[in-house]
Order: sequence, then C-alpha cells, then structure tokens
Amino acid sequence: MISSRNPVHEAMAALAREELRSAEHLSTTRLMAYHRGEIPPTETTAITEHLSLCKECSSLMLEVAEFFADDEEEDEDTAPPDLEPAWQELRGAMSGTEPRRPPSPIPVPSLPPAAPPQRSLVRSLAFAYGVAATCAAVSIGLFVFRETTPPLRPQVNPGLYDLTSSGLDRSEAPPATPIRFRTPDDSALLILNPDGAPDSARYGVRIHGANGAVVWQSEDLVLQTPGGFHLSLPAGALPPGRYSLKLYGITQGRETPLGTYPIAIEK
Amino acid sequence: MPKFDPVLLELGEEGEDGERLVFYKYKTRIQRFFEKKGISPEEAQDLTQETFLRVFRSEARLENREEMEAWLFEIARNVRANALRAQGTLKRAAPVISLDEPGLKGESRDASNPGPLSDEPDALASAITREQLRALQEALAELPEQMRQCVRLRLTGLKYKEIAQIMRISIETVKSHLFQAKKRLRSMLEPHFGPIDF
Repeated sequence: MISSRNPVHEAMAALAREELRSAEHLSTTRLMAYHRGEIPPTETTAITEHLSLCKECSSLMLEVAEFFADDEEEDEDTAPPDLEPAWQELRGAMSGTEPRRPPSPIPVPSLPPAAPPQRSLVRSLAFAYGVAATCAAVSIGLFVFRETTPPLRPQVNPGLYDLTSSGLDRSEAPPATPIRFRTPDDSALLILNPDGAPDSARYGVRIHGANGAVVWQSEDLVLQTPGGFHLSLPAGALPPGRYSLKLYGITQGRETPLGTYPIAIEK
Repeated sequence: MPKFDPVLLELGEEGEDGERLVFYKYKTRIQRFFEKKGISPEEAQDLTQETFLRVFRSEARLENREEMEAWLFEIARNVRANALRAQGTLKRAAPVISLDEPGLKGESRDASNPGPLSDEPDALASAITREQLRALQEALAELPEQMRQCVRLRLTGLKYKEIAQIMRISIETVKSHLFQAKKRLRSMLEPHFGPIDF
C-alpha cells in the first residue's frame, strides 16, 4: 500500500468525491458479471470508469475477485474433499437437533468380547437410545412438516404491498416482494417506509431492471404521514421479472438515496 | 417450485436435492473466503455453517445461478464482517476516507452523497487547493482512458495486482501504464504538488 498522505493522493480522493457526486454504487450482481466478462463492451467502459473512482465499489470488486479466485486456481488433479459429514452436520443444525453423524462403520457383532455390562449401565443405554429415538422421530416429523407446508405469506389486502427496504448499504438483502396483478387493468399500491425521516423538497422513485437499467421512473411522490410514501404501479408498466425500486429525495437538484426495495413482478 | 431448483440454478437434474447441491458446490469456496482473511480453519468452518444456515432458512426464491451466487456472497461477506468486528480486527477504511469525510473517520462512504468540496477551512480544503484539484483533473484528462484509470486506482492506494484484478488486465500492463503516466504527469503535476510518486 502506498502512502495516502501524499498531496496527490489527497487530491485524487477529493477529485473522486467531486466526480461521484450523483453516482450510484454498482450492484454485486453487476460486479460479478463484470468479473466473469459477461458485460457488453459498451457498458464495461462505464463500469471500469466508476471502479477507478469509487473506493467502495473497487474494494467490493476485489472481494468478488477473491471469492471467485478458486475457480481460476482449481487444480483438477486434487481429489474433492468429502463434504458429506459437514452436510449431515448442517442438516442436523437446520432441524434443530444434534448433528447427525454418518452411520458407524463398526458393526456391533465384530466388537471385541467384553465383560457383561452392569444392570445400571444397560438401563442407562436403553434410556439414552429411547431419548435419541424420540428426538429423531420428532425432528423427522418437524422436517417433513416444514417440507410439505407452504411458506406463510403476509395476509394483506389484494393489491396492497408493504415493501421492506434492503437499506442503503450492501448488507444481507431481503427477498424480493412478489407483486401480482389480477387483471390487465389492475394496479398495485406499494407502501415505502424509508429508514430515516425524509426531509427533502421533492421525492422520486426509479425502478431498475435486472441489468441495472432504469425501466420506470416517477418524480412526484408525495410524503404521507407519518413519513412513508404510496406508489401506484399499474399492471403492464413492467413485464414479469425482478426489479430494484430505489427511493430518493431531491433538494436543490441533488439526490439523496432513501431506500432500496427489491420486488418481483409475477405473471 | 423448490427454493433451490437444481435446474434453474444450473446445478443438477430435476428431482435432485437443490440445497445439497448448493452446499457441495459452494462450501469449500465460502470456507476459503473466510480463511483468506486470517480466520482459523475451525472458525471458518463454523462461519461457513452459519452462512448456509442463513441461506437455507431464508424464504428467498432464486431464479438463476448469478442471483444465487451474489446472494451467497453477500451473506458470507456479512457473516465475515460480523466475525471480524467481534474479534475487533475489522480494519478501518484507508486513511484517505478521513480526509474525505471530516468528522466521520472510518465510516463507510456514500458515493451518492459525497458532499461538496467546501470553501470552509476544513482538513481537506486546507490541504488541497482548488488549483491543485484543477491541475490534477487536467493532467488526468490528458492520459488515455485505461492509463488514467490505472493512475486513479493507484492513487487510492491499491497494489499493482489489485489494479490488474479490477481492470481485468495483466500486472505487466498496469506497470507499463503507470510508468508511462508518471513520465507524462511529472511536468504537469510537480509544479503544483512537488515531487510525485505512485
């Protein structure tokens, strides 16, 4: 790492701030596509330009490269590790029971002869087996129930969707809220509740498609009491697919991001 | 539709256990991702399990492999950040950040709201003049695109290898660009900044 106290470096940081004034960060999906070389050359230039200025995105890009580094370093001669014990342990943790170990390779009849067990030891073993069998039955029952029961969905009025923001950082994103239109004339009322108290002069929303391009935009959102927004989305405005809805405030021509809401338009 | 559809995720055939295929495909990669940050193999194993637990317990529906990989990566990154923070070893961002955001040392930077270069006598304004900024801007504009991007990344403190990874070019190309750029920029920048080195 070179010194960051050099005035040229400080000037570069200031310049980057100036040039990134209204830029948005690149999504992880987009950076991964860039890393794989799946971005068209026309868009690659813009991404590289942004990465050369945005320290946060370039850091994330390095992490993406690190995450996929093993693909490039994979040694085909190396035998893959045995993952089954770890998988069984994970399944045990998922069902909330003790880790399920792989079957014991030692057959009981081949055990060396031993002195007859004490009566109390036999009882203890019988009790332990009983408890283990009960736990296994309960956990299998819970597992089967979980697998066969459809996931609970929020019970809201049809056409009304209270969206959950994924926030402004890149922490774990919530699943996309599914939106379904009943008829071609239908519309969905989306409720957006930003994390902080909005205080901008105006408010807008942009909907980005999976490739990051803006596919729908509105800049006349009205702040409702107590601090949320209502957005009416007509059927047919967007084809089925996944989108990212970005809410922002506008003051003196400058935009302030207020929240990002993943949505999925269903058929 | 199962949450981890093996066909949609390009991992296997219809009817196979999607979760198991995801685990087999990504377990080693995620564990290495933890270990590369100096986390012990034992703890990396625990963090890997935590990552998959969070992935499999979520109700998210994934429609393609790219989406799933981005999601796995984000969760692993989040788990790793929490673990490093807990250890008290989470490194702050480079010191340049503190100059960008006076009073917000070490906090993450919001590129969409960087704030104006104020005329007020703050730490940055006192260190860098508008004349210097203009000189740097004009000097960089003289460089070819790829060379300019290499210089910018180098000036944020990145190593040759890191610049090469970001730009998806070879380390030799990075070195060549920086060598040429230094020669070209010297006469333009040294009157404003003194001797330059990057």
